[in-house]
Amino acid sequence: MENLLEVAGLSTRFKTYEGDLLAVQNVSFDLREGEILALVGESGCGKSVTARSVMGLYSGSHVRLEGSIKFRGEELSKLSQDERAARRGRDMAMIFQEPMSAFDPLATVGEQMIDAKLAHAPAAGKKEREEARKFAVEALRSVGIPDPEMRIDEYPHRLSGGMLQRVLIAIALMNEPKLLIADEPTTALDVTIQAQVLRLIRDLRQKNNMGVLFITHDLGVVAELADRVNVMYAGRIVEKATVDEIFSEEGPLHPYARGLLESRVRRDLKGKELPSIPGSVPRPVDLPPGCHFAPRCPKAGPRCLSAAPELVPVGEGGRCAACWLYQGGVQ
Amino acid sequence: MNAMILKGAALRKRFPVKKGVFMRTVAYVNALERFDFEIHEGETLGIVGESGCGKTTLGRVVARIHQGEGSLLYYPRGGNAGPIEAIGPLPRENELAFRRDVQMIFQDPYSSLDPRMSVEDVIREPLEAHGLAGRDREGREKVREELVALLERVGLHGDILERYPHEFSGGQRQRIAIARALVLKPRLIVCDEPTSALDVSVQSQVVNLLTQIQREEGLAYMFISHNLELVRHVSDRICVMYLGQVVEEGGAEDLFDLPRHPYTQALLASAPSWNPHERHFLDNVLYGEPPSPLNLPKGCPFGPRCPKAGKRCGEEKPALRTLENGRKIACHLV
Repeated sequence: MENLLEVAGLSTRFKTYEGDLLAVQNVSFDLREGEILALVGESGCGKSVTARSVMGLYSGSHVRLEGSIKFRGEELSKLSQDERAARRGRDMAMIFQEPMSAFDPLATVGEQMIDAKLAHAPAAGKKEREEARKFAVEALRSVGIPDPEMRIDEYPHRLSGGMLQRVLIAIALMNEPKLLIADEPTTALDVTIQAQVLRLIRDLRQKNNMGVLFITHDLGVVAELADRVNVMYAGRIVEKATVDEIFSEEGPLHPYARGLLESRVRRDLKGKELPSIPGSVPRPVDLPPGCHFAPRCPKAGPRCLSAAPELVPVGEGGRCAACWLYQGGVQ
Repeated sequence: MNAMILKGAALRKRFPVKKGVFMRTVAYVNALERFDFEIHEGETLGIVGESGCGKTTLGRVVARIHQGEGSLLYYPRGGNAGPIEAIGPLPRENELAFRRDVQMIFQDPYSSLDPRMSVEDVIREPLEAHGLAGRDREGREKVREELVALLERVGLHGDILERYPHEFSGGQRQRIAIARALVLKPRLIVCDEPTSALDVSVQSQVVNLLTQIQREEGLAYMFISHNLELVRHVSDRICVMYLGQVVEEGGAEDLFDLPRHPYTQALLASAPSWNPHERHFLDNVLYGEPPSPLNLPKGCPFGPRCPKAGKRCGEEKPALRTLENGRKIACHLV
């Protein structure tokens, strides 16, 4: 399978009054066609910033990006803003966490869908508009919106959160992109609606052979949907594995990924203490030296507090971890 | 059986929808319909359901933040005087007793703490309201020592009294909110989604704190959450709500082992399996969405989405019936 997306050495730095904030630090990953790659982590770990950097949503002097982002072999980081914009929404599309705030409240969902399509057809006339409208109705139908002919003329406030998220997916699919970036698309939704939206993403991946970068904090969702998993903590990827490896008997390699998986509420723990990770996620302006997880890590040693481990392969089969435990010990 | 704290019967809450220049009431949102419950010291009643099912309204009616309809019997400490009807205004003395006994923890610790109040002000405020904050300098010093001890109990440093909420992370703020709820030594705390705004790795810390306090103090919780696994972990009994109504109620383990109502079954099936070899929830998707609480369906509220619904379900509203083992269910099919 061809690599759809190759990200290498991506760092995203913001200038703030409190000093430089390194939100994403030397992140590398590949995504193949037809594959769902989950980027997992808690709030502030840099997963959304990674997604937005890949989409090219950051510009201006307050933000600095380093590293390489290749989409189907083409280096995106060298392109101008206009060239990026031409690819956005056409080759790669993104859906966001809060469907309620992702829409323009003053335009109907149909208008917003048609605009998304015609943004990449500058000389479009009346005929193209009508065709785009027909296409939009079909797109709404394919994401499971009942009565799409009627719904297309509704304003966003008339639709529920679950419906809006599906419309957002329909907009993302208007130009049949090869890459879909989904940033916590079900976090704001109820469990039964979450299942509907996840199923839709899975079916579309199969139908369009789309690559999906799926960003979430919920490992339960990852187990249901993803092929491979990258776990992030405080701006760095700490573990890369297949979904089978993460959820196998042995579990994750990195102590953070392990802690995250163990803090799920399990049935046999009724009446007992739940395992938890002590402390809280460090603020990105105030990162500890060495391994960022060391102050909360049950296995940390002196080496972890002074030097940061690289993300290196552990064993065969492409599994990687950034932890001294697998690189000669923590002493 | 432990002492009863609250007993609700046919609790109801409707919010008027107002329109026009004269703000005439044109309709009602039926947020909570006919809710019955009992809560005793030392036990946890779990409330699960999706957004808009009325679980937050229920918590607020029980804590008397919203004025409900129906009956809410309050059994004061000691139990000699007999129960007091707590719907509607109460005499000052009973009002104070009720508020001391029933406290609340809110979902979002970023908006439930006043940013201009120091940690000490936040925790001391309930004591001031009840005249327990100490009259003279000596008394206030003593209270301050108690506050330090309380902070340490909820897992914070005692020296943070003079700091402000913005200096703390979400988990720490929720601990401050818990300290505030505990300061009056209540018998019941209504916990409205106490962990859903927190990071995954911090959620279990807060849950552990709540269960530990319950073991030590023997207080009761009404634990409201959309997180099924979490509700199961903390609860003795669980009510499953849909559109303001209880559709099923039972012992926590019993209910999860053998859900009888089609909605409970669907809700449990929508929870992830945590096993990539047993991916299941994408295959039993429940279609449709809950109808608007403005115009409830004539029959069973779940009827329009129910995979098993028949003719009767569309016409007649099922009553909540009691089955064996204290299981209650509102469904024509069971």
